[in-house]
Formats: sequence, C-alpha cells, structure tokens
Amino acid sequence: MPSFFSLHVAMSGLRAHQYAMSVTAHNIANAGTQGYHRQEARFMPGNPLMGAFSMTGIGIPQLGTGVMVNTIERMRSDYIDSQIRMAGQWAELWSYKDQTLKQIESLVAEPGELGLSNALNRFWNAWEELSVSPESLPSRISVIESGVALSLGFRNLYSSLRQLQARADQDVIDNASRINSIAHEIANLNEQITRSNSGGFQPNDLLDQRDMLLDKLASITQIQVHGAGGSDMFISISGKTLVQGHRVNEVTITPGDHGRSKLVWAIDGTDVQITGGSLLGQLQIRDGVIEEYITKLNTIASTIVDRVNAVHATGITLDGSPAGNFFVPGTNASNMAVAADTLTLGITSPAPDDVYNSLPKMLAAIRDEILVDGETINGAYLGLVSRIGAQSREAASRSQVQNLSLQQLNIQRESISGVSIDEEMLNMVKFQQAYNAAARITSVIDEMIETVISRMGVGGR
Amino acid sequence: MRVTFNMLNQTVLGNLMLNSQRLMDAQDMTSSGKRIRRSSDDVPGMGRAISLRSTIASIEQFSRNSDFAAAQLSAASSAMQAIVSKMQDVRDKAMTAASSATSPEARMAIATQLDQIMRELADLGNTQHLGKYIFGGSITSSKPIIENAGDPPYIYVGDNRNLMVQVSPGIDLKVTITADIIFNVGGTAVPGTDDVFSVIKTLKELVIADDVEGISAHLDKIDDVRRNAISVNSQVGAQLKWLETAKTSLLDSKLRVEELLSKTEDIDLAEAIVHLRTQENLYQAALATANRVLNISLADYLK
Repeated sequence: MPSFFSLHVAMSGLRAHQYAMSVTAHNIANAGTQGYHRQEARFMPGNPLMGAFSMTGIGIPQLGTGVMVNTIERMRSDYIDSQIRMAGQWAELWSYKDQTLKQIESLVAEPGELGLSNALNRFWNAWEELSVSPESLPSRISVIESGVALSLGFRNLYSSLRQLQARADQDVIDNASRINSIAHEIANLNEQITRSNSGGFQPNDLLDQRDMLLDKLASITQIQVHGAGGSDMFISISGKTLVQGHRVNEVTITPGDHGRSKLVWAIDGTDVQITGGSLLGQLQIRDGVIEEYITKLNTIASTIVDRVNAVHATGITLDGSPAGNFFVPGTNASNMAVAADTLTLGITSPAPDDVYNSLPKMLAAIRDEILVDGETINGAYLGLVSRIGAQSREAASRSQVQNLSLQQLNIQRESISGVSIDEEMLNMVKFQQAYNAAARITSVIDEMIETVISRMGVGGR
Repeated sequence: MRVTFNMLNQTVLGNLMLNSQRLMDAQDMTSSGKRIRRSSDDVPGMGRAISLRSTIASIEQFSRNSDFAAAQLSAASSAMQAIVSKMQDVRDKAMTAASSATSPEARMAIATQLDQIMRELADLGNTQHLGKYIFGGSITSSKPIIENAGDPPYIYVGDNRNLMVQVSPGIDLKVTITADIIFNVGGTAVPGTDDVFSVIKTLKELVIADDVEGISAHLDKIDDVRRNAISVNSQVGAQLKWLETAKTSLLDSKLRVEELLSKTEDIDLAEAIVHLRTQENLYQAALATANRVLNISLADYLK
C-alpha cells in the first residue's frame, strides 16, 4: 500500500464536501427562486481496491478509496407535478370566469338605483302618471324621458356586454400567441437539455425552467406531457403534438363564426380542441355565457318594443290623430330608441271607449302581462339578473375551491422540492465538520509521512 | 413532512389574504349598510329585493294617484255641495211662490232670483280644478255648460267619457262626474224628467204667470232633480271616504313592504359590527402568528 494512498482518500473527502457545500450554497441562493427544485449531492464510496494489499491471507479484503459525488439529484415528484397542472388549469378557468362574471354583475348594478329594474319601474310609473292627467305636458315629457332612459339602459348594458365579449376574444388571441411562444421556449430548452445529456451533464436548472413553462402552458389549456421528462418528452393538446424535441407545431387564429377568433393548427387548419385552462374559460364566457345574456336581453328589449308599440298604436294623440310607434319598431337591446315625442305620443283611446285614459292605463298594465317565457317583463329581467348572480356565485366558489386545492398541492410540492433554510444550515455544519475532519486526516497523514521521512533511519545521516 | 420557509411563507400569505378579504367584506357590509351588494351575494334575496322595490314603486304611484283622485273629488264635492244648496234654494223659492200669501211683486223678485240661480248653477257646472274643467268628461279645456239662446237655457257640451284612476292594485276609481248627470241633461239620471235648467225655467215661467197650482204641481219635478243632485253628492262623499281608507291601507302596506325590504337587503348593524370586530381580531391574530413563525430560524442558534 503506497504511503500516499490515504492522502488521496482524505483528498476525496475534502473535494466531495467542498462540492456538497457548493450545492448547499446554490440551494440557499435559490431559496426564493420560483420553480427552483432543491438539489442534493449524492455521495458514493469510491471503487474499492481489491485485495491488492492483503495482510491477513484469509479472504480478499476490499480497501475503500474514499468518496465521490455520484449525482446531484433534483428533488421532485412527477405525480404532484401532473396534479398541479391539472388543478392549475381548473383554477385558471374558474378564476377567469369569476372575474368576468363579477364585472358583468357590476355592469348590471342590481340591486340598486342604477339598474335596469329601476328604469323599468320608472317607465311603467310614468304611464300610470300620464293616465291621471293625459293632457298634461309634464306627464307627457316624463313618459318620453323615462322611455329614453330605459332605451339607454338597455343599449348601455348591451354594448358593455359586447365589449366584455370582445375582450374575451382578445384574450383568446393573446393566449394563442402565448402558447406559441411558450412552445418555442420549451423546444429551445429541449435542444439544450438533449445537448447537455449527451455531454453527460445533468441540466437540473434547465429542467426547472422547462417544468415552470409546462405549468404555465397547462394553466392556459389542458396539455398532455408524454415521455419520461428527459429529452424525449413531447407535449400534445387533445392528442395533437404541440412540441416534440426542438420542433413546434404552431397554433394560429383564423376568423370564425360571428367575427370571433378561432384557434386552429397552423399545419392543417383543423380546430384546436380546448378542454381546460383559462382559454376554455375565455371561450365559454365569449360563446356561452355572454351570448346567452345578450340573447335574453334582446328578447326582453324587443318584447317591450313590440308590445308597447302594439298598444300605443291603438291610441290617439293630443290633437286627435292616430298615434304611431312609441319605440323605433323592430329594435332590440342593441339599438332601442324612442320614436315618439310629446306631440306624437298617444294619450287617449279613440272615442267609442267611455274611459278616455284607458290607453296609458293599458300601457302601464303591460308590466303585469305575461310576455316572455311565462314571465312578465320585469320577471324575465329578474330571471336574467338571478342567472348572472347564480353563475357568478358558482364561479366564485369553484374558483375558491380550485385555488385552495392548488395551494395545497403547491405546499406538497414545496415540501418535496422547496429549500429549507434549517436543513441547509445543518448540511452546511455537517459538510464543514466533515471537511475539517478530512483536513485533519490530511495533516495527520502528513505527520505520519514526516515521521517516516525525518525520524526513521537516522543512521544513514 | 418537510416544512420549508417558503411553505410557511405561502401558508401565512394565503391566510392573511383570506383574512383580509373577509375583513374587507365585513367592512364593506358595515359601511354600505347593505347585506346584498351584488346579485351573487344572495340570489333569492336579490330577487326578493328587486320585486319589493318594484312593489314599493307601484305603491308610491298608487298613492300619488289617490292623492290626485282625492284632490279632484274634493273639488267636485265642494262644487256639488254648492249645487245641492242652490237646488234647495230653488225649492224654497218655489214653496214661497206657491203660497197664496206671496204678492205678485214678490213673485217677480223670485223670478229674477231664479235667473240668477240658474247662472250660478251653470258656473258651478264649469268648476275648474288645476286649470281644468272637472265636469266635462274628457273635454277639460273648455266650458262644459254654455248658455243657449233657445230652450233649454243652458246646454251641456262636454262628453261622457270618464277618467279611471288606479288607486290600489287592481282597483280603478272613476274620478269624473259629468255635468249631464248632475243636471239630468236629457234625462240621463232621472228618466222622464227635464234637465235642471229646463225645470227652473219652467218654474220661472209659472212664477211669472202667478200660476200657484202649476207651481205646486211642478214641485215634484224640482224634487226629482234636487234629489238627483243630492245622490250624486253623497256618491262623491262616499268615494272620498273610501279613498281615505284605501290611502291608509296603502301607506300601511308600504311600511310593511319597506320593512320586508330592509330585512332582506339591509344588515343588522349590531350583528355586522360584531362580525367586523371578529374579522378584525382574526386578522390581527394572523398577523401576530406570522410575526412569530416567520422570525425564527436555525441560523439564530448556530454560532
């Protein structure tokens, strides 16, 4: 056994613990880095020397050759990562719906003075007011004004809903380009990871970056991640490949129905099937929720226009000529407007009727007529507001639940992958002590050799 | 389970967010005084609140309507009382004229007075309220009773279309009384009897002719039209009385509905303040906990 052998063994200890200390330093440095996975240096005994210096003659002893750092492990769990991606997409979907529905609720402004229900009440009351003094100018002005306010209320709500719809459409377009840019980033990383792997390196920090991009992508839409997570990984959306290695299959936007954007694969123009994530939330809000509200609003508005016009046209004006339309005929919530003025306003019914204020009374009584889906006009509007409220409530609670479960999963991930300062401190102490001990061994061996060199065989001097 | 600094951080942050959100909500509720601020706060409650508001709006309208009706009917009522007393005058004059003790000169004076009474009755028929003639049916901008050169001396030029005012849910009140009914024009009220003006004119002619027996025979006709006026007057009185009751019950139900609305959408202030205090304490507790757990580290104990 060569005298310097032990010096090499001690040297390996020094080197390994210095190495491990760097890993600890890296961990502490990245304690606050988003997406960082804790790394751990894995020690392995060096390859033993086989019986080369047998002193017993019995058996073949193996002499240890010190320590080496085998790998730097990245602490993570595939299972939790996929759970987080699953929960993340639903959390994004519901929080998008929650935010949009809250905005719609504040646009509707019910219950309150600014809502349409108040405008409706004022409108019906104005007719009632007109009925007690059909020929009075203030009452006639008040009917016209309340009709204008009602039309304005409908038009405002309509255009605000359309604006929200357009914003959701813009969000879809933005998300399409985000999908592409994330896909390209992942493809780039894939290329670097492949290169590192083939060079025999462990690209832990590149893998961290890629995992973070996958989380981001999964929050936009549901994705499937195939492969072991190394360089052979590929990502697909509803079975169609988005990224494979360094190749990207881009998505793109084409004009779809009603001038809304449609997400298609650039390669063959087929639809991208969106099954989750904020993108699904945007599509559902744009094509389902808002569209439904607008349809209902239009039905209510056009019912008011048609019914009020039909009754109004049976009346006669102040100067005795037949009254025409009160509202511009054929309009709905998008373009509702008052057609009559104080002179063309119908105030009484034609002569044979012995009640001369029956026209405004009939108009005021429209509020009690069952006209829309088995409901009065106020009732139908109330139904719409209730539906918005119920959907908003559902979105809020779903979003809360999904976010809680996401938070829980994040805590689980943190438990595995997060940096614990206490742990790193202890590791630091451990590696420092081990380093010190290895250094001490070095000096002891040095002394031993010194003994051999300086103190032995003095006779030769 | 490994517990890392970030986990503590996230949990503390998550709880602080939750607590501050609840605190904000409690604060918003207390300062706005409303339990339902948007429809999703309480969907059925919101529905109830909107219907109740609309009920209140219509009750307010009904109460404005009955105020209008009451004003119109009171105007009509005071005119009617004057008409009834004029008719009583006519009867008194007729009785005086029918007496054989009355001198022909006195009869001439009575005839002149009868002319005067006729004019006054016509004026009462043209009573205005808020600048509108109230006894002319739908014709409110011109006099319903005008002088006529021939017979009868005054004629009715209004129509008999009515103003119906909704004063309670589903209850319409006729607030128009037309002068043709008051004065029995064309026998509309008492068939077979002439209108008031013709009756008085006939009386006047009988008085001028000193036809005592004729006057006595004519008394029946005078009583017919007089009783008609009295009956119209008492109808108006009954309507006014009924309106008063209806108004009271309307105000009653408005109070009830308002109380219900307040119960539906307003907060119970004491409860809300207690709730706010609780949330405030919880938030402070969360902050204090954060201070305790986030401040300790092994690093403090290693030399």
